[in-house]
Amino acid sequence: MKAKLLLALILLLFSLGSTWARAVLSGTVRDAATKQPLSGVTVSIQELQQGTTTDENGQYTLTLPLGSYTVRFTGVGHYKVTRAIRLMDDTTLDLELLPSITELDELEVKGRRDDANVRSNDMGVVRLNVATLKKIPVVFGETDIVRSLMLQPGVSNVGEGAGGFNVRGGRVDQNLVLLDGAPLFNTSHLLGFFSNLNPDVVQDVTLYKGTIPARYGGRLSSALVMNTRTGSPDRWNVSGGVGTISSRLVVDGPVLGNKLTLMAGARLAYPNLIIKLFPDLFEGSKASFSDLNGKLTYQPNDRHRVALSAYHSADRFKFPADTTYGWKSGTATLRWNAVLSRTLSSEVSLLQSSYEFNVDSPKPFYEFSLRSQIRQREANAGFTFTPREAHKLEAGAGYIHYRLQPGSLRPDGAESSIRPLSIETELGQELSAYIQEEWTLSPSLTLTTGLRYVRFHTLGPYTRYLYEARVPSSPETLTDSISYGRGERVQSYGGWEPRLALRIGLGTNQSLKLSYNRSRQFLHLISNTTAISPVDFWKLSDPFVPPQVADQYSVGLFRNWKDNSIETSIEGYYKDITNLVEYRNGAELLLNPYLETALLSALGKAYGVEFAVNKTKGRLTGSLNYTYSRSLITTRTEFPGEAINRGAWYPTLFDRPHITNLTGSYTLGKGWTGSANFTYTTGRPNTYPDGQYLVNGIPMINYSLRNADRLPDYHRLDMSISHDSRRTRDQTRYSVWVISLYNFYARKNPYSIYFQQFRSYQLSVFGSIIPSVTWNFHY
Amino acid sequence: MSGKRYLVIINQLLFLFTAYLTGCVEEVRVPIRTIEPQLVVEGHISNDGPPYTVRLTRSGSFNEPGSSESSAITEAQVYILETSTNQRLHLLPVDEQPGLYQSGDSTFVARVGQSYQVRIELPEEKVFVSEPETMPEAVPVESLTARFTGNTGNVLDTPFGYDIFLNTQDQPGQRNYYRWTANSIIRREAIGVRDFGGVFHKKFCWTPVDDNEIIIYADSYSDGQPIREQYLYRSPVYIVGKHFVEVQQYSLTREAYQYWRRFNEQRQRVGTIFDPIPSPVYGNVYNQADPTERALGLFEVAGVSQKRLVVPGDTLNDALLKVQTLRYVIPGDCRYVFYKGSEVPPQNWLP
Repeated sequence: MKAKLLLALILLLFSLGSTWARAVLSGTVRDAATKQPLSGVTVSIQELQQGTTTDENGQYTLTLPLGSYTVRFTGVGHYKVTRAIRLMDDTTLDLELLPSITELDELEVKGRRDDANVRSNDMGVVRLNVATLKKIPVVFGETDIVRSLMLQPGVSNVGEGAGGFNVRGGRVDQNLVLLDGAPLFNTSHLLGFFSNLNPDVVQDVTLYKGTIPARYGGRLSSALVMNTRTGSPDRWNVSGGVGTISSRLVVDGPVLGNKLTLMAGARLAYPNLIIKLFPDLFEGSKASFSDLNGKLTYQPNDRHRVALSAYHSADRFKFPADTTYGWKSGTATLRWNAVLSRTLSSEVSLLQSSYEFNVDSPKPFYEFSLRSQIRQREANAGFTFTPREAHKLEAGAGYIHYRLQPGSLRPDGAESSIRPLSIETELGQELSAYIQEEWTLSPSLTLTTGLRYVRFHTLGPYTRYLYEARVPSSPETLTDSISYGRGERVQSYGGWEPRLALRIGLGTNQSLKLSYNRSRQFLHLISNTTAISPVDFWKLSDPFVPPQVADQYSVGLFRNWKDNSIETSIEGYYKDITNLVEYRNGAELLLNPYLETALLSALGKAYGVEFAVNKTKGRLTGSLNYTYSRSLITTRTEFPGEAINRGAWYPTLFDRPHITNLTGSYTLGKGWTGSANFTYTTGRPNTYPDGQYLVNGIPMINYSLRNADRLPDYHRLDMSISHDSRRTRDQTRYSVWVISLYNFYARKNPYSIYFQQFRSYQLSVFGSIIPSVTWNFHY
Repeated sequence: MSGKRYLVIINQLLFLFTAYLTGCVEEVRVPIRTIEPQLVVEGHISNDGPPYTVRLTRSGSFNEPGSSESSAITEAQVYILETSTNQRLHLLPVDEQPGLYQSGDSTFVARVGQSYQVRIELPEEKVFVSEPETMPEAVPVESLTARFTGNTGNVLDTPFGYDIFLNTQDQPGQRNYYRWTANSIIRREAIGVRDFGGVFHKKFCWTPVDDNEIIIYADSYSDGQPIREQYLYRSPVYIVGKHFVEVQQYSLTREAYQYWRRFNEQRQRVGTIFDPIPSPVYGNVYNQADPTERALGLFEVAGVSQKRLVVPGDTLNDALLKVQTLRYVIPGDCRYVFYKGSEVPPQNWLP
C-alpha cells in the first residue's frame, strides 16, 4: 500500500514538469558570519510580486519568465539584500546575508518579506528570531525558547514553572516538538522551570499552530520545528554565556578542510549553589541538569549535504535520605539533503528519539528502582518539486517504530520486600505518506492542498484483557485475556488527513485566508496533575485507547499599513477533538497493569479569536496581541456514575479566556537596547471546595465540581537592557550583556490556591522582582 | 507504596523549592461556592461480630466548619443485606448518637466469603445502596513491636511515645489490601482529690487512647513478601507505666482500599501544580434510581484479625520524663478528668 502510494507520488512529480519561455533561478543563501545555510529566507521578485522561501539547506528555486528582475532576500535577524538580475537562462544566484545589529540599522524581526503576512499562504505560523530572544527579559537571565513562545497569541501554559506549553486550547502532549526532525517527548528542566533547549545552538524556530504542513503529523495542536546550527566552514568560533543558573558554551568550525564541519554545544546548570544558600530547607538535597548538542555536517558540494546531529539532556533531583529522580532525553538524526535538479530537491532522514525517567528509593525494606521509557525510531523521505512558479509540490513518506516501557519496578537489594513488576512493553508502528501542492492561481489567489494518509498498528506481544459487559471495567470485572504474539497486529487505526489553505488577496496590502486541517494522534501522555510532571509516562493507542482526532477550521484577515511597517491580523479558529484521554476521579496510573480501567474517553472543543498588531520597522519595534479563547472538555462513558462533573462540559486546566501580551524593544544607540514585556492572562481554572464533612472523625473537604473556579488573574511586567559591543556588521568577536528585571512590579501572581484546615492559601512563584545579569560572548 | 507516592514526595519538595524562590505563601480569601448537602455514609461490617454500625450525615458548607456535625440524618431506614443468602438486617437509630444506626439482632453474624450490601431509605424517599462486596479473609498479624521515641511534630501534646510497628506475612498469589487501626490503654496522672488528712488520692488511672489516621497498604508490588516495620500508631507517654496496645488488621476489598487511598491523597494536597487534581471522594454507595448521584463515604466490608501487645514501659527515666510532662498533670479525680479512666489496669490483655 505504502510503496504503491509512494510510486504514484513520484510519477506525478515527474509528469508535471514542463517549461516554456522560462528559466530557473536558484541558489543557496548563507549567513555571512558563520557560512551556515539559512532556511526560511524569503526570496521575492519585486516586479512579479512573486516569491519563495529557502528550505532547510538554504536553497531556493524559482521558475520565471525570461527577463530582468529585482530580487530581494529577507531573513530573520539579517539585513535585507537586493540584487538586480537579467534572467536569460537557468541561473544560479548564491548569496550571503549579514546578521543584523540593532544599533547599526533597522532590526528585521519578522524574517520574511515585508508583506509576507498578507501575501503568503501561511496562517497561524510563528517564527522566532533566536538572536533577539537573548535581549528579552527573562527569569534568572535564562533565555528560553518555550517561554518566549508564550508571548505569542494562542500559546499559553498552566502556570509559572509548569513544563510544556498549550497551543490554541490543546494539551501539552499535542505539540510535535522537533529538533532536527526528531521529536522531543519532554521540553523541561528542573520540573518545568526551564526548557531543555539550549538557545545558543538553535538556528531557527517555527511554530505552526494553525495549518500544519502535510509533512508533519502525529500531534493535534501544533508543530514546533527547530533546527540546530551548522558549524562554520571557514573558521572556528567560540561563543557562550554565563548566567545565574547555568552557563553555556558552543564551539563550531571546520574539521577536515571546509567540507566537514562540527558544532558542539553544552549547557551546565548549578542550581545547587542556590540550594546551598538555604541549608535548613534543603540539607543534603541536590539538583542538576545539563544538555549537550552536537552536529557534524558533510557538504561535498552545493548539491548534497549530510548531517549527523545528536542531543542529550539530563536532570537529577535528589532529596536527603530519600528518593532520587532522574530524567533524560536523547535524539539522534542522520539527514541527507540533495538538490537533484533545478526543480527537484529531496531530504531523507533516519532518526531516533528517547525519553526516560528513573526513581530510586532507599526506604528500608522497600528499596526499589522504577524506570519508564519511550523510544521512537523513524525513517522518512520527502521531495520538493517546483516545476514552475505557480506550483510547488511536496511529497514524501515515513515509517515510525515505537517502543514504550510504561513502568518497570525492581527491588534494590536482597532485603527489599518489593517484587519485580514490569508493565507490558508497548510496541507500535506508524506509516504515513503525504502530498501537498501550493498552487498560485493568480496573484490574488493561492490554494494549498495537502493530503496525508496515516496508518497505525498496535503490535504484539500484547495481552488484551476482556472485561464484563455492562459494568464499569475494573480488575474485578476482568473475565479473560487474549495474547498476541511478537509482531502480530493487535489493532489498526488510521485514515486521511486533509490540509487545506486558501488565500484571497483583497488589494495590495490585505488578504483573507481560510484553512482546514485534520490530524490524528496515536501517542498519549498519561498525566493526572495540573502541570505535566517528569514522572508522567506515554501510552500508545491500543484496542482500548483509540487515536485522538482533531479538526481545526480557521479564518484570518491580514492587513499591512504604512509601507508594511505595521502588520495587523485577526484570526479565528474552531477545533473539535474526539477520543481525548481523561481519568476517573482518583485514578491510579503509574504501574497499573489495567490502565484502561482508570481511563475515560472525552470530547474536546476549543475556539478563539486572536488579534495582533506588529510594528516591525524603526527604532521602536514591538507587538501587541489579544486572544479570546476557550478550551472545554466533556467525558463520555456508558456508566453515568463515573463521568466527571456528571457528564457536563467543563473548562480544561489551561482554559484562559483573555490573554494580552505587549512586547517592545527600543534601540537607544551605541549598542544599547531596552526591552519590555507585559503579559496579562485570566487565571487558570481550579477546583475550590464546595463542602465539608466528617469521615472517621477526620474533617474532609469536598471538591465536587472539577475546574468550576478560577485563580485570580495573572499579570507581569519585565524589563531588560542589553549592550552589544559590536561596532561593525561583520565583527566576529563581541559580547552582549543583558541585565533583566523579571516581574518588575513584584506582583505575587497566584501559582496555586490550596486549602488546609478550612483556610485558603495562595502560593506564588517568583513573587518578587528577580534581577539577573547574563554575559554572552562570541569569539 | 503507590505510584502517587513519588508525586507526593516530589510535590512536597517542589513546594519547599517554590516557597524558597518566593517566600510567598499567604492566606487569601477566595469566593466559595456552596452546593446542595450530599449524603455521607460511614458504614462498616466485619467478621468480629455485632453490633454493625452505619452513620449517616450530610455534608455542610465549607465556610461553616463543623456544620456537618449537626446534620445527622435520624429518620432513615437502614438495612444490611447478606446478598449471598438474602438475609436482611435492620439497623436501628441510636438515640444518644444522632445519625448512628446499629444492628440489634445479635444472632446475625457476618462471615468471611459472604457478600454484603447496605440499603438506606432516606426520609425524602431516595434510596441509596452500595455495590455488594464479598468479605475478604482476614490475614493474621505476625508480631508487634514498640520503640520509644522522643520527637514529634505535635507541639500541643507530649513529645514522648511508643511507636508501634507491625510485622506480618502477606498471602502469596492473591491481592491483599490492608488497613490498620490501633488503640492503647495507658497510665495517666492527675493532681487527684485531697482527703481530710491532706493526702491526694485518685491520682493515677488507666485511660484508652487512639487516633483516627487511615493507614493502608496494598501488596501490588510486594505480593507474598513479609510486611516489615509497618508504622501504625504512636501510643503517647505521659508517665512511666505499661501500655496495653491492640491492633486491628483489616483485609479490605480493592474498592475499599481505593477509597481510602483517594481519601488520603486528597488530604495530602500541598499546593503545587503536581498535586493530584482535586476531586470528590466517592465510595461504593449511590442513588439506586440515579447512579450519577453518589454518596460520600463508604460502606466497608472487611475481614479483621487482632493482635495485642503489652509494652512494659519500665525502662524510662521517670525523673527526666516528669520534668517535661508535668504540664499534662491536670487537676481533679483521675477517673473523671480522663476519658473512661479506671484505677484497675486491663486484665488478661494477652490471650
